[in-house]
Amino acid sequence: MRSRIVAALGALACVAALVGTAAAQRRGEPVRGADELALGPDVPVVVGAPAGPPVTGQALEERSWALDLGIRCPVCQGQAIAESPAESAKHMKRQVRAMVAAGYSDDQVMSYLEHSYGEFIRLRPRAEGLNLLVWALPLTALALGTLIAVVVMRRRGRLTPPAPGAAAATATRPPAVDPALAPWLAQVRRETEGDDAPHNGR
Amino acid sequence: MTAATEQGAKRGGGVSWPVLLVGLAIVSPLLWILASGIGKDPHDIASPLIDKPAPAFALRTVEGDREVTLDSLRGKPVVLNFFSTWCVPCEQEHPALLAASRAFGDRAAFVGIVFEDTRDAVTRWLDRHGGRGYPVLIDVGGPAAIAYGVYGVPETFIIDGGGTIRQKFKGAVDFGTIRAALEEVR
Repeated sequence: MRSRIVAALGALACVAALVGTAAAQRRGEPVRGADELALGPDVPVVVGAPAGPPVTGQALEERSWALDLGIRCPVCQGQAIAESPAESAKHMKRQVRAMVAAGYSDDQVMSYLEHSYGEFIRLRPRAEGLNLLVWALPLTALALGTLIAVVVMRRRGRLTPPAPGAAAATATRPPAVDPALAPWLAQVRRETEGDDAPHNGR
Repeated sequence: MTAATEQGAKRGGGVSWPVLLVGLAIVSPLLWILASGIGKDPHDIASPLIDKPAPAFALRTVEGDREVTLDSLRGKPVVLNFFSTWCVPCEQEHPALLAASRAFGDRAAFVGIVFEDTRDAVTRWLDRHGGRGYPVLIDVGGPAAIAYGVYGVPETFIIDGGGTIRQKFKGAVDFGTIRAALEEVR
């Protein structure tokens, strides 16, 4: 009974912490009614008229969410606005949704935010210029590493199994010794054969 | 360990120089990129709005008695300060902004824009910190903050008489900084 009470109190404390955190994140005046889809006054100046027709319903939510996943929260550490509880992130999500609802394309939405914040606002950098390193280096490193691994393993003979006839032939004779190692191997054999012989008095 | 096994150990511990050199060639630029970023604030990025037209805004004052637009301020330089009551550097710079507005208010317009805050909190805060020396506007929903690319408060923009952003200051500003900035746009 006591453990159930403790578990219930713990759950209550967690819920209270979550609610408190959410409340602490709400720092500004609430946005209501038509303001939910109000565009910033400079949007038409920066990106012109909407490229397409207004969007509503499921399409609006899906496109907004997809965009939100690619936009950096300006006050967070590497988080998308889709995942951030910060007030700034909520404002930006609202602006993105308003632009999508008005018919602006994904490119127009990103261009508008880039105009204000710079390329840093993109979580996925454009594949151009120095940014190409971000996209090309990991793939190049993977390909190069795989190539090196294959070459090294082939040299050691692990990737090329011997033909059945060759296996039988090599089984009847001792394996070839690297000439550079032969003197060392001979020394080891002399010393180990000497260790096998009985020692005086032991 | 016998002399033979010592020799063998030395010979068997060899390094593949080609592999090492290729690895260094790949890793060195990455280490250089990483090292060049150490100590830098990733949010301290130059504003792309410098020397560009200041974004328009139309916001109501905290008192709610009137709307202020950027267009209405055209003709003289504007000191546009984004701030919040929960921001410590904002509290530190407010006396300097008040003093500057009194000293230079005849030749420049000073405007405060509240960032992520409520009217009640701002009203109480202004009453505690020297009152209102210039219009303070409330940015409900953050459209002005987004338009100006505000990463965090305080941020102060210096806009010339033609409506072009000339400078942006991140962090608290002092009287001397504001005076020097206004001298540049005169």
